[in-house]
Amino acid sequence: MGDFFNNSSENFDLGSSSGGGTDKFKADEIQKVIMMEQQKAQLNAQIQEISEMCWEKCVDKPSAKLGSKTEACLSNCVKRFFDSSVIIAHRFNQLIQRSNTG
Amino acid sequence: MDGPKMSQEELVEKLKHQVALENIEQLLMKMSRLCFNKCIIKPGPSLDSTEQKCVSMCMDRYMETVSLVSKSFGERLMAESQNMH
Repeated sequence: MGDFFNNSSENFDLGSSSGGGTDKFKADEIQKVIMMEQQKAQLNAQIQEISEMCWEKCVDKPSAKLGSKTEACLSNCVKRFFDSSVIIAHRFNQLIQRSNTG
Repeated sequence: MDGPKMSQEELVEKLKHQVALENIEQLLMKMSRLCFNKCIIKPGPSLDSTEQKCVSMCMDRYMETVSLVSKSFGERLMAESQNMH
């Protein structure tokens, strides 16, 4: 990502390509696209990470098909991972509150 | 790199392209690592046919796994966002 911006910022001329009022609009638009892309990248990274975890837990030896058992395991794995995250978040909150009041 | 100026569309396209390339590269790296671990237990002088088959199947199964996971992930996100309202 860093490379991309370094290479492009000097090439991308916001100032002179078109009339004054639209430049701000264009910059905002690009900002929006970048934010969307970042969100997508974050989601994608999460999916990739969970995929790896559940792959390790559910798939023993790769065969010609995943099989219904493995598929069920994968689907449960994702759901239980979410449940665990929720517990962790709650627990963490409790700890923070306790340390604030105590 | 490119010509002196880029239009907004070109910049956005380039950004998306770059992100897509990055994703593919990461996926390939990950699959290589995971399938190497699963299929090549003791590296010999060459990949034997069992190992080769295992690596191919491993990649196919991993891609299926990612699509299953992203489906479950999406369903959970949807359910979660409906609970918030």
